[in-house]
Amino acid sequence: MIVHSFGPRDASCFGAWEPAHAPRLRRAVLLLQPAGWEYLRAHRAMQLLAKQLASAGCDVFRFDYAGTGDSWGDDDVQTLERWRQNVVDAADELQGLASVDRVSLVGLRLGARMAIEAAVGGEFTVERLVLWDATVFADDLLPTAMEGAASSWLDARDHDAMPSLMEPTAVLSALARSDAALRLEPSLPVLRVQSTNAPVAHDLDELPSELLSSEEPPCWVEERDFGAGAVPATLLAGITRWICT
Amino acid sequence: MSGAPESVCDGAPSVPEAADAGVHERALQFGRHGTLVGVLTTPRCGATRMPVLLLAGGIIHRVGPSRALVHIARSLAAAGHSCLRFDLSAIGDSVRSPEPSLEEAVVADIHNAITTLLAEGSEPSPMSRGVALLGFCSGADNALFVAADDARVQALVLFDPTVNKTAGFHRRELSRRLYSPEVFANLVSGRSIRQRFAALRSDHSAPFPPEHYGLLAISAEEADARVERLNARQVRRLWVLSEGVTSYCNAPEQVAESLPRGWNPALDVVEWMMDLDHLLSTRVQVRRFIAHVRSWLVTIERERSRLERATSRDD
Repeated sequence: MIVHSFGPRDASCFGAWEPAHAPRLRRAVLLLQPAGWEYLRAHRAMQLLAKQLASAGCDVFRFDYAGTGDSWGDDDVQTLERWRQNVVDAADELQGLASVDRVSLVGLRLGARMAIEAAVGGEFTVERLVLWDATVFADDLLPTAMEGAASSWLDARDHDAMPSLMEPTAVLSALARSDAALRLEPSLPVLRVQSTNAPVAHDLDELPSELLSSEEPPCWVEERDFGAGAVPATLLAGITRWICT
Repeated sequence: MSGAPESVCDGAPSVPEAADAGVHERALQFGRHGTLVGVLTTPRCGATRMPVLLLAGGIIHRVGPSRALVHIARSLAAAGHSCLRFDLSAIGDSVRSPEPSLEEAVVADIHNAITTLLAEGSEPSPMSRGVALLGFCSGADNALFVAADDARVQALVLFDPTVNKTAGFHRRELSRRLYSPEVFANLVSGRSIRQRFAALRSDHSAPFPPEHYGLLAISAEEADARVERLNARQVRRLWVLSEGVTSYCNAPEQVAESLPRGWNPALDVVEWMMDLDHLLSTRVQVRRFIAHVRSWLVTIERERSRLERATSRDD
């Protein structure tokens, strides 16, 4: 893995590139993270997915959106517009690193919405699209959608100590209803990945896609009180297989 | 990663409002195997104060819960301290190291991080000869463990470390229960008995934490002995205790009680900050925490400078 920063000099983002192991498939995969507490909890699963994809021959890049993780800035730079640009910049970075002209996207939760928008936006060519526990609207992030899960994203909002440092409130409030998913190119291969207990984005039901599901708990929900989520080994293997075949 | 705003490197002890102002950040891969991943945050106009190594707790990666470690590193760097936050082997982006034992790996990781911080993040000044370790939760336990054997550590900030239970803890707990209307009501209603039975019947087959948790657990005696070793080097300690410790520590004096030989009022300070939670979840909490740490670091640096000047005059 090689870590470095990319993007504009005064607003750079942290990125981590997993170069493909031999034999290279000449396939590049950009991982789009969830946000807030979900980002923290899912970090290990995303890192392991990157390693598995790289072992299978893909060049993989993951990054932190502006104002999150190790990237520059604070709440004030967490805007949907900037995050969309981060995705484009990250794809550009990956295409340069891997010397390819197409990128597959794997988006988890909020990252799935970002992936759909990037695929529709057409600023780079998307080869395959993985929508993992997709949230298409901000409403999907509400705790009622996660009934039964011990500590969903916005349980934190109810705890009056929590809100300011983790929630990308500006991004959430900008996530209006969108029909972007319906405008995806029908020929684009799409895989929907569904963890047990995760809310189902029914707005994607019309989307021609394959489905991968498992009984494993969502990686973005805290496992007991470890602060991190479980690693869904079956799903990671399934995503890797689908991307690489 | 770099910040655009103008520098605030005036050496003032106050914490700058804009935490990103005047600092520079660089992602690093370092260590004996080149496999540790960290982010070095440095003052743009040069470090003038003691470098600080931040040690995250548990299995959360180097940004820390609530991204608190990022805010802390940037604020301290804006005030003149170079800061390094990193992932222990097998946590976050750092890969598992080949050392056979957890203790060996964690100790080596922290030694490597101190070396990197001193090499990459400090200017030639009296304060660059050593570092402060700032540990959170299990990171605080790791800091205490390593500091006893590493002469480069000059100061420790321990946020919610393990504080061993003492006779005083049990006495205070008993007293609280005796006077608690809630406990009395639970007893009378039979709720507490029902809860105990429910706990006995509950499923204990939940998964355990990952094998490599990065926690150097030690006995009360060894903790005491390690603090005693720090006394010989005059290493200052700031213990910051939040509401997160109340299940095992119910009064500030318990730190002294738990260290019968090691506690030294000239070197130890306890901040009992029950308005902070264990995750430093809000901006206000992070600011309060940084302000305490910052002003404490300024105080000990001044004292150390005074001592050094006095020593050089005597020579």
